[in-house]
Amino acid sequence: MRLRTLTLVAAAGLLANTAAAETVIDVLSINRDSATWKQLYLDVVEQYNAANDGVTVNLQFMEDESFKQKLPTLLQSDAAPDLFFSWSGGVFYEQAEQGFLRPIPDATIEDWKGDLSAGGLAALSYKGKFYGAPESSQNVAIWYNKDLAAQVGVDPSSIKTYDDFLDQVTKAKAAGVTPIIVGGQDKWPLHFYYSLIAMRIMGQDGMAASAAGENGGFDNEDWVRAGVEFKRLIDLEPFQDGFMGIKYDGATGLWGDGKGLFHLMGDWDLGAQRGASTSGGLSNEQLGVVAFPMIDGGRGAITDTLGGASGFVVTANAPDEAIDFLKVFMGVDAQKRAASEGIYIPTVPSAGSLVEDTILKQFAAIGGASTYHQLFLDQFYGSTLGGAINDVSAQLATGDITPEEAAKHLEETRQFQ
Amino acid sequence: MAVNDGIAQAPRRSAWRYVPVSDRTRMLLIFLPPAVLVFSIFVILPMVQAGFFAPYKWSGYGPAPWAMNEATGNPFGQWVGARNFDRMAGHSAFQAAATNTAMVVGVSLLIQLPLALAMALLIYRKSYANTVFRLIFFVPYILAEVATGLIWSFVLDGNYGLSRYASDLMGLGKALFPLAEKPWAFYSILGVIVWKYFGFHMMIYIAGLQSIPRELLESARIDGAKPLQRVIYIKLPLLWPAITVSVFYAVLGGLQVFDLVMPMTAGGPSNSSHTLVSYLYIFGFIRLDVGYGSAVGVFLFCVGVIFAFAYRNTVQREGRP
Repeated sequence: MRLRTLTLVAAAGLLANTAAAETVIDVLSINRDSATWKQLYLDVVEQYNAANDGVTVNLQFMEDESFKQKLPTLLQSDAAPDLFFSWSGGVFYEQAEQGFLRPIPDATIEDWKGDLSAGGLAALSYKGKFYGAPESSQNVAIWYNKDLAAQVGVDPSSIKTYDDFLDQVTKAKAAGVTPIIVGGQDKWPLHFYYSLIAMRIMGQDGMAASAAGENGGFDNEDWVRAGVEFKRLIDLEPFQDGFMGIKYDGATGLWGDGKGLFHLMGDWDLGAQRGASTSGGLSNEQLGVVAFPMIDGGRGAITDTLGGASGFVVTANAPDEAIDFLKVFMGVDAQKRAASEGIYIPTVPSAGSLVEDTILKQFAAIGGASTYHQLFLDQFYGSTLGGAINDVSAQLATGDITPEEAAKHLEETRQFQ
Repeated sequence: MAVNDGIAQAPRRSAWRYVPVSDRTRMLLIFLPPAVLVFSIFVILPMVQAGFFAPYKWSGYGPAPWAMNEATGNPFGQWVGARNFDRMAGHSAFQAAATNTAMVVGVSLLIQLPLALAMALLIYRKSYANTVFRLIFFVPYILAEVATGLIWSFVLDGNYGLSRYASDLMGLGKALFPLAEKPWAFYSILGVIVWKYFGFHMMIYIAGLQSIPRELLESARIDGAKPLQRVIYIKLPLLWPAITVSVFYAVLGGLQVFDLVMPMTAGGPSNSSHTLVSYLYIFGFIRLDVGYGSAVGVFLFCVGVIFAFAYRNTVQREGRP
């Protein structure tokens, strides 16, 4: 009898506990090595926890590579986070396709569109459903070293056409200055050239047609021409010695040490080159930025941009509170602070003007004036076709494949998907 | 035998008393299940699974490619039959990886093992100097593979590495970047493989050489056998069992090279320095194509098993008394 009473009391206690239990929102982010970025996250979480009784946000960080490797398993387990970081693109599409993500209600999205970036939201959508909120956007442009430009006697800010660019590369080469620094071993820094050339040649419609398999998919004259134009650059031998044996980190260190005139890279390189260089890196005064030039007869525009879009997405079993927190986490206030502190280039339209860093400001302007933003091709096309784009970019750079073979290989890979 | 006697003399109250089996069977019943269990779960099961995954196109999400995804109403994967194998055979990077793996095995057998044998013959006698040499030659083997790869990638870097100083010393005017140039990237990996593993095979040979009875060598010397004759007619034949074991390890180890490749070249430039395993890792796991990766794994498994069986039933059988 006594035992039964005890059991009842215990059970009642348990039930009461459950009723009063807090909703826990688990958030998984990649490592934020920049102290100000991490602090921004911690502050937002702390304020949210303090303001919302009954909800506890639990934020965790994981190193990029282990994050990528653990996520597939994690998403299928009971320990799946409610919100997690996403680079958007193919991996995100696969997660959405397989039903691991929770679509955000349409009414909420309509509401968010007032504050958040519509383009950024679109990057985290799949088949008409929205799964997350955008944080930062990245854009790729040609960086140049003003000291070396003066030494060579060229003005990179005047580059408008691809031929202008090739001309300055030739002049740098003649003056004994390494024209371009690239981390070829990683392949993706090389794929920026191939991608941007292709975008300039065929424009948004052409890129979409390739992805959809129209007009021969990738095996058409536009992609062959992209390879041919890329080869024109390669034939000038513009890269530093041993460029295929060095990863991005090492290459941006060389760039920061002033070893080359140009570097085609995203806005994140501003901090990265300083961190990786042996001399403290290039100052804002030494750096210049210019959009990737236009190619004669191309159907794209010089204002079309290549880059990334990242944010946080909601997993399938996440509670409603997670969506509520997401709006705050990626919200206007947080992004404004990020902009004014120079943490990242925000996607929220109203925060763009708050960017103060002279270089980031130029990137924000490039992003703001974008007529069509193409996600990095190696992410946009998914891991298999995206990986193949990286492969052929590297093979073109080493002369192991002709532009025709590259286009054919891409189309074969696309059909395999 | 002692245990047997003990039981016969003073039977204890043990449950085993009622089990009508011999000691040998009893031993098997106790010791075999844990081993079989661990082996099955961590070795057999993944192998069999890979076999089942190979005919699917599958990103790795979900428990299995044929499992139903409740969220979408479709299976996680898609049956593609032999397509993964077709694609593998036609992929130039796979062909390069297979050739490279064959080269690793070839270099192991034709350069590494003879080198290890020569070193072993030079320093197998017990002396202070020989112990020091043995240690020096064995140290590369103790180093972790990834650390070795990183160290060599620094050494061979032409911007800040030793390669820069070496090129400057030789007055080349231009630094060498072996890891960035097409044939040299993989040759560098081969060199590091030989450097790293010959010490291991040398140790096997040293142990074998030290176990050769001294009287045999002495009598041969008294009979007038020259040093080279003693090596060819006495040491090598008696070392044969050790050599067969070391060849076995060299071939199977050669098929598995991975951790050196990733930090040194990551398979580049242009996928020219992949081995089968690094190819599997990049194209199967990193590119989220687990079905394809499984197909490559099945191929690798078949090569390994065919070699192991063929070798055991030919070379190693002859070696047995």
